[in-house]
Amino acid sequence: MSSAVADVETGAALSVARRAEAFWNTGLLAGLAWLATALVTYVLPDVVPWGSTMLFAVLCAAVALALLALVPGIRLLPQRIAAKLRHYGPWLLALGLWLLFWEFTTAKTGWLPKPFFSPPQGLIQVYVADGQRLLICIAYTARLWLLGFFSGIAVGYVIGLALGWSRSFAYWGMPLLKLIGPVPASAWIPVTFYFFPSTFQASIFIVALSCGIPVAILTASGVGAINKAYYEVARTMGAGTSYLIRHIAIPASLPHVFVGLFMGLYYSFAVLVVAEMLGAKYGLGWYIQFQTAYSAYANVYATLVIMALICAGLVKALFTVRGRLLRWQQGFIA
Amino acid sequence: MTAGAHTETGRGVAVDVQSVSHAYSIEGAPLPVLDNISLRVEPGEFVSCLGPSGCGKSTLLRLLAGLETPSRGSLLSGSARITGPHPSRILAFQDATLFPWATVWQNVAAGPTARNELRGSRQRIDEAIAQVGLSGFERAYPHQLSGGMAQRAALARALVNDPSVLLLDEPFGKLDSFTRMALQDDLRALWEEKRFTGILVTHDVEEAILLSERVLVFSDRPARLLREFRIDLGNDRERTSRKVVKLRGEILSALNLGHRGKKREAA
Repeated sequence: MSSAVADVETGAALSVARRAEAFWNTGLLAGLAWLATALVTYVLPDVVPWGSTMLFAVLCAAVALALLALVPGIRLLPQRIAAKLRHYGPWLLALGLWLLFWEFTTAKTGWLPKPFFSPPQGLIQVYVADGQRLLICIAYTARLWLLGFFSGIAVGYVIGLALGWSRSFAYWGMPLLKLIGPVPASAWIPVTFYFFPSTFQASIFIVALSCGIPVAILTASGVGAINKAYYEVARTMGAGTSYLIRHIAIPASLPHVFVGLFMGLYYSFAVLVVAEMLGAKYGLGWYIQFQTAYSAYANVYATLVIMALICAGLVKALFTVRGRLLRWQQGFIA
Repeated sequence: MTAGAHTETGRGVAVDVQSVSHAYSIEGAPLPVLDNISLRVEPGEFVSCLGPSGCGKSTLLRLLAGLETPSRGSLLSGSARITGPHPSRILAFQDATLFPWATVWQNVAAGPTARNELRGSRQRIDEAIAQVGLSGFERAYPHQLSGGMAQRAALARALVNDPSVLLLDEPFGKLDSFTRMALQDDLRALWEEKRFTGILVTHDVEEAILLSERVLVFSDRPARLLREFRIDLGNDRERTSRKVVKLRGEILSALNLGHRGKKREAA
């Protein structure tokens, strides 16, 4: 009897939920926000000409139309994509409102003045006018970052393993690492100029150092935190040092290592500007400095957006790798 | 190395503890845990050690496993002095201590892998998993196992090395009582089949009686050997049989716990 009542109640709750799902209400609000941005951009005159104002208005209108079409149309999308859209609905709304505020306070009123601030279309204008140069910069930075990041984490990981494994290595190494850790990247420039034959190699060194240090410290702490009983179990079964390192120290420290990798990833991006101070001719960091010198802040912001997006993509990729390798941890599966 | 391992593994060997004393150093001050212990375990015998918590029984197992060397005295496995860990003497802990990053199969394969014997051992690993009733769970990770299953996997990981001495440090201490009973029966059956020398540290008097040929009772720290009980039950080991209950009472009084039990019965 009572279970029948409960069934009716859950049934009612389900139908309410279904009705709520039939229309995507957040999508409606988000669409209206984007539409408002498009209208404000199109109708109100710019205080200062920026270029690409029409393009920005058209882009906003396109997003608005897509969102409004999805308000009833979300049902037709595959389940997975629809769920993702619903999840990010509030973000889409916030983004629309943010663009409206941004557009209004910069291009339309000049409350936030040129050259310190740029409206959204200012950034779009940079991509339109300077796109080719930016693509070249991306390629140069990618080369520097890939070489620096991967050599840095490789060396940092090996040093971290040694620090965690060997007591005498830790005795000498840990204090040095703690001293070196907080030194700002720019302070290394004079030394690197002396030691490295080319400025490119010096730049690689600075990127490698920035991500190698957190990886080393966290690998060492990961190895140090391993339950000693694991080693004892293995030793009673006849394990030698190579087994203890390869089959226990390395897999057991992996969760810590990934924390180090995430930190290293962020630091390596933060340090790119400094690394590309060293006589680079192209590169996103170099581009940022170059444009800062000319007070072309729109170009700086546009580049920062690119860097943020690339970094976010790499973080996402690293999360995927972590999910694969740490499948054995509680919470990753079933 | 591997040839030497094979001559010593297989059927149980005798274990001799000769006037062993051991002390740990806690912040410079010595903390004696074992006081002049001498005992002999016959080849293929199963012996249980009972005593107050923290009295040093586990230390004795660690010494026998070769994970530590005694402050005084010597320990022998067969005729060889124990100087370090050896795969013929496997220690199983209270926590299953399975490697969480490895599957059940990889965990059981740890010994052969560590000794570079994996190639010829695959069948033996499968058999060991089947023996403890974990067939079908080879690819499961430890966090997916129940406590009982994890201890079974740990038992398989020990037995796959075909130890001549199996050292068990309260292996079922953290399990619920039904699971514990099932695992006790299984361990007894495995011992009857393989006849390794078994040394079990436990706080469960009934477990000690059901599994062993002999029960040793130790004093409070530093542990001294107080008494020993011969368990002449053969294979007739019913938890509720009158003999078992009687032995249980005797051992409890030897541990100074019997008295309290009587009072409760009277009330």
